[in-house]
Amino acid sequence: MNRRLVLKQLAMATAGAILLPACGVDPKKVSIALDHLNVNGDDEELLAEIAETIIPATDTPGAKAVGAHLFTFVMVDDCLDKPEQEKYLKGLRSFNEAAKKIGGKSFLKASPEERLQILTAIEKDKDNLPEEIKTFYSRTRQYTVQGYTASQHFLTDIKPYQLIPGPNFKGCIPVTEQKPA
Amino acid sequence: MANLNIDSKKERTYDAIVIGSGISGGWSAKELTERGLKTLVLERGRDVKHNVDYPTTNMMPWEFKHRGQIPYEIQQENPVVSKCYAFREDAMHFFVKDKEHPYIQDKPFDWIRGYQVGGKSLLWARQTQRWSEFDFEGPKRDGFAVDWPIRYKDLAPWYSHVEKFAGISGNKDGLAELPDGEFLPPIELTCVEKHFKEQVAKHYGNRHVIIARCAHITDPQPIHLEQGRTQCQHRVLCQRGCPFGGYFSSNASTLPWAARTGKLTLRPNSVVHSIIYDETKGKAVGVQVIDALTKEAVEYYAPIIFVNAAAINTNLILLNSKSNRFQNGLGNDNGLMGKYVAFHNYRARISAEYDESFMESTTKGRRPTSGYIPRFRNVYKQETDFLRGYAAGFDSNRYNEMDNDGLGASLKDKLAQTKLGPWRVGSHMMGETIPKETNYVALDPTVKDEWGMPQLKISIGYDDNDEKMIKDFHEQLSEMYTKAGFKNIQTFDSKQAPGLDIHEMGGVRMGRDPKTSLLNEWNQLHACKNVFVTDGACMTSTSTQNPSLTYMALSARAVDYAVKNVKA
Repeated sequence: MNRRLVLKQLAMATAGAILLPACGVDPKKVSIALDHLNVNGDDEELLAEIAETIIPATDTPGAKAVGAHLFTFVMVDDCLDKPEQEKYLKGLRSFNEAAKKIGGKSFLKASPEERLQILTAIEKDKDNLPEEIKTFYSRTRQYTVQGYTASQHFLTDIKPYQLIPGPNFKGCIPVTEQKPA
Repeated sequence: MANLNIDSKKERTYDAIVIGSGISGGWSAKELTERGLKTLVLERGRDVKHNVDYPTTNMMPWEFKHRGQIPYEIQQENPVVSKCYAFREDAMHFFVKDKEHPYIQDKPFDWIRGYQVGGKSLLWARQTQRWSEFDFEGPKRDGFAVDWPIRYKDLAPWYSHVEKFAGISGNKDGLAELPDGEFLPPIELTCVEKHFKEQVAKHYGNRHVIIARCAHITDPQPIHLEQGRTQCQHRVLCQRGCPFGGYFSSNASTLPWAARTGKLTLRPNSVVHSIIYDETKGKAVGVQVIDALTKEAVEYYAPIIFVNAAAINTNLILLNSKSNRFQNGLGNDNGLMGKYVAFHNYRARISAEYDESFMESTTKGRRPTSGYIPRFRNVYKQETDFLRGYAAGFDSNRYNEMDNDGLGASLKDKLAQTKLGPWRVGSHMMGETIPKETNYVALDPTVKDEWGMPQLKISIGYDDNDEKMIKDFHEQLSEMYTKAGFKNIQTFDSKQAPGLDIHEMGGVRMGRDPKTSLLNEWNQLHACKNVFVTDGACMTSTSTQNPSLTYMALSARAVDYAVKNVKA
């Protein structure tokens, strides 16, 4: 292939890419790049609200603001095998049905209090839930907590992480002087 | 044309060649160049320059896409290295991937490798305990392997030599079984570790708990500052490469030091195929290298050759160095090369809790070392139904036992709190294994790697002595823990394959007799005296101590001898 042809094709591909959003093919795309997981903007919105219910914004940012829901997608995408990913997706897709059974309405239409009630009911009734809902919920909870506690916000403002603590190891200090390291 | 060839050969001729740039190769290079020898260091992997090539060293935890976890596909592609505790998102670029460098496991063996300038010195656990007289006399006293041709007194001044330069933190404990060295100030034991130390001293005559000696600069001396290294900052992110040079690595210490003499040539991406033996001269004259990137063969020449390719790869190179005179590998007249490989038995662990006292106390900060229990079994005399013994780590800590129950604002509050649990204590066993002829590495007769090197067959396993030792470790440590008031004692046997200890040793062992060993007391091949082996391959027995410090001392000692005694 000669250089000119390559450049031409590259230019056309780029033009296509620029044109795409203007065509409005699908405005609800997931906002991060994923390799395996076939999810869309609606899925992302639902996951964000579930994560935000698990760890809500109070006087400090919650799960959504620190991107814990996106971290959840990344971990499912990269760190689980295919059967587990499929189970997770199935759980995500049937989550609204489960929510309706419990609260009478879809998760996104529920108020924050109702959302909390739905998740509380799921936690309490874990054993009677379909396998995929259980998997979806427990993975989402686990990764949301991990994403939140390992976020820049948490490790800067809540429990500051010290990259360079200095030569300060002490083998015995009163508990009252303890600070996270 | 003829003249061109002569010139080209001249350009490829040095005073000394060092194969490998890891912990022992770095030392060989430093000592050779300091003595004025024009030295070529060949490294099979890519270059890793101190600070320049530590891409993750200053990353915050949230900057790792998977917060440290290795993605599923990478784990699947690399089942062996994925078992290594340090193979995490922050340091995975310093480990050999299984797929790229295959080998044949006749028995399960987890071969953990670091192919780059600096080798595994970037990744090591930085524990630096000296061997004692009890360790060197072990094979002779207990009738296994062959007698070491050296004793503690031969190595003691060289331990001092390398300790002063590397920077070793430790406490002078005055123990015959773990001799003191040239120490920078020790790092602290915790209150519970001190409690355990007292209890062990009270109940047992010859058992001790100390702070482990480690290669961290706790009080920089002029010699360390001159290397461009400074005080360890207790980041405990060592496996990423340390911007302070706070711990010892070839990259931060010996290699830049050697480079400053102007005598060092470092050639990365150089897979050593074999050492060239000249029958008329009766000695080795150089090495054949395959360029890792271009696959081109090129030869380099020198009157002194140090083989520091890491234990198993040193065996590979020597076994592959075949000539009319040495048809089974360079210096392998007795056929023992590749045999009597041993390792450290790291299978056993024990953990417990303590809440009887010190509940108003905790620790502060991170610590780059831990407590240590020197070998107490069979030290002065044989007292068990197994040979030799084990050392152990000893560590204690109070963890924030985060309560993850609940949902919403109440969960969020809990995550922000710190709730210290009881003291948790733990030990891991570092057992001496007995070298045996049946534990060996050998060249596969047919299968080759990408660079035309025969693949290695590895056949190494545990034996009855190892199983008995595991049982004894669990019994003795349980008893010691009980006497110290520790509760909820739990013992574990990981059943991990040999290799994961990353302390493989032997195959080119030192000894007094050319009939039963490959190297003499100066680490020279008995049958080819200008070739020196000073990495793990030279080890006659394994003892219980982390071996790197001993490789450093053996390297420095052998270079001193080589420069004085080997004629060009």
